[in-house]
Amino acid sequence: MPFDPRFIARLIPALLEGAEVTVELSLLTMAICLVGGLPVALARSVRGPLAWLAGGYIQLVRNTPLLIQMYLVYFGLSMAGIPLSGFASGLLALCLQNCGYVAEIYRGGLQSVSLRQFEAGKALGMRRWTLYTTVILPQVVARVIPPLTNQAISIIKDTAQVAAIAVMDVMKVAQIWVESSANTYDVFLGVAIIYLCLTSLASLAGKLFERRLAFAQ
Amino acid sequence: MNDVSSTAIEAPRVQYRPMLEVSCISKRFGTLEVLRNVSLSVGAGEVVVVIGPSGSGKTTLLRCINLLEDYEEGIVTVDGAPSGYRRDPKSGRRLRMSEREIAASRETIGIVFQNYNLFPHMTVLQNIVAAPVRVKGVARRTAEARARDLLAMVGLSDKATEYPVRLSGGQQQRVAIARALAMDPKMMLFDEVTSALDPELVGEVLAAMQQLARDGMTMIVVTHEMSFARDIADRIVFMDGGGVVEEGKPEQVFFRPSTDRVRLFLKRYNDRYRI
Amino acid sequence: MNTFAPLIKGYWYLLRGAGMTLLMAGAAVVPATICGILLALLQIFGTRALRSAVVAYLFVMRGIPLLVLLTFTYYLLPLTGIDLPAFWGVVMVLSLYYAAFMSEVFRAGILSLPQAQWDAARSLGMRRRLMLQIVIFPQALRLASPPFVNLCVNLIKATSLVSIVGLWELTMASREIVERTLAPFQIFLGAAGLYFCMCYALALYGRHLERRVLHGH
Repeated sequence: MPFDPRFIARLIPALLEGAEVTVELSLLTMAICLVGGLPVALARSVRGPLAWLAGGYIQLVRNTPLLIQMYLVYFGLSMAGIPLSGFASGLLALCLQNCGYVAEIYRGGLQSVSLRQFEAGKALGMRRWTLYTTVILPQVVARVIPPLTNQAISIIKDTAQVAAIAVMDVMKVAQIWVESSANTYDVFLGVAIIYLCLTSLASLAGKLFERRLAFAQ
Repeated sequence: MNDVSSTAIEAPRVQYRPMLEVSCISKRFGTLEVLRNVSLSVGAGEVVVVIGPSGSGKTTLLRCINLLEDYEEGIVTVDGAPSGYRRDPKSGRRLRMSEREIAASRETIGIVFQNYNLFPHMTVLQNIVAAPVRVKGVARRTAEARARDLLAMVGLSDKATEYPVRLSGGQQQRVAIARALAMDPKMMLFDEVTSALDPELVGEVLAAMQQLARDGMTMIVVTHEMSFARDIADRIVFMDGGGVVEEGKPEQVFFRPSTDRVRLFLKRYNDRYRI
Repeated sequence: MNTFAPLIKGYWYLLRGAGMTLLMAGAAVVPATICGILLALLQIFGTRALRSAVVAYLFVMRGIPLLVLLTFTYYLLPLTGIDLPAFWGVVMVLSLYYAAFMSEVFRAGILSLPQAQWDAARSLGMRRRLMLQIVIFPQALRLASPPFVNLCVNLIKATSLVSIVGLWELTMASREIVERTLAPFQIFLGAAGLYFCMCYALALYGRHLERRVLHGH
């Protein structure tokens, strides 16, 4: 019963439709978090109550499961009168969590640039703006690309959890097909291959970015 | 089995079998020849100091002797027994010895490194007894007693229960010497052991090495410390570009060198340090 | 606080769920760690064939979501005839999944030790097993302990996914209460709080370890 070509012929388009949703969700999350992580990282760096708030937010999202966060958004918000679709809830939860992680990546990247670079630039008479844009930021960019790539892969894998709130991503499609047919093996293979392709693509993209943008260490 | 060496470059001043016999070692890193056909003979109780510019292969030579590095050609013999590679008596081919044999032969050669390399998660005493107890099977109490004797010899009796991170560089280096001695090696190799030390800590390490030499240990010392080399060496070997350029007694090499390369090296050294 | 009544009433049930979560994570940690160390050693010392096998295994485990593995083990395992209680089935999947990540952590720890330590051990006549036992592992495991604890936190959060395949732990417990009381916000918040307590405590311990590792030992 595995490798039944007619079954596979019907399965693949369905899976690909689900994959579309997965890709959409992943790209949106990544884009939003790349931008959204910046203010959080900045908030953490300044002294004062803002840093404490940002830090607390990051600890909250890091120490609770994504699934619970999704349930909170999906069921909790609708109870509070703001009914969000499954897709929107999933997106919101994913963004809330990953903005925290991305902010930490940014902070780590900034901190890892040696203090000596700051001192060398200032010694050469650079003003703050020039120092940051020509010396510090290029190095930070080089250093955050690998962890960001890992985060992207993590996001792609986390999107699978939206299946629990009835979003038709590739995982949900797979669940439906597994429950309604006896051909578990084929469905598994299909889903696994799709995710492996997506994560490998993300990994490759990351390496490409590294090569083209990284001119420090 | 008596294989009295007859292949030494110079007629050995010692009549008995040499403690160390290095025959025609060659080593390449890719296209770079790091050691070219190097031969060396060291008698029991002899102190040989190897000097030369950086990149001359001195450190590589030491590391080849106790097979921390592989080498393409040549055989090393320690006290008559091959170490690292042996020649198959039937086919004459050069074979690598088994890991077990190599580990066993390493017990007979002690080495002290430039960066002390103490085990940071063990106390000084544990550092010294670890190998005798776990490799040679010495009883722990015996090993600890011996360790304390060695610590006394290098002047660190009060540091037995300290962790290496709490010791100065010179102290750590002396512990490293004690650790190597704890295995009762037949000879000791010293790889630029004072180069990483602050100048004021160098003296205590050199003093420990002097004591060892006086007690009759066979030693090969790679160093930059020229005055120390003059004091301690029975023989000086000058290496450059992967080969032995000149060797002889200290007075001869330092004051009447017969090659220009040595003369140039010593001149530069004298200019820098006003010896 | 009338709105939080459902939470207060269901609190004991949630607490039991948290206990099950810890049990599951605890049961999975041990085999995951052992397999992780094994995989790391195989990657460093193994033959080419073994190394390729490990690399392939890591590629798959890090490229597909845990949910996919859980779902399909749930469906496929009974078909192979192995009669395993569901609890041990998910523990097995969790272990195999996290072993992959742990192996990378241990491998990094081992490889980050300076070559000088290997040289010193070898020059004293130590052979590989002894060297690993008394010189390499004590140092490498110490170095690896902060990221290891981080993985344990992730493991605790990952147990929430087993609720999607129908196993009972904290997330499932909270879903059950929500279905009865229709108070998702309070209940899921309560569950999040419990997760937070478990994970944050562990994370604090991880930070303590990190400080100890940084300041030498």
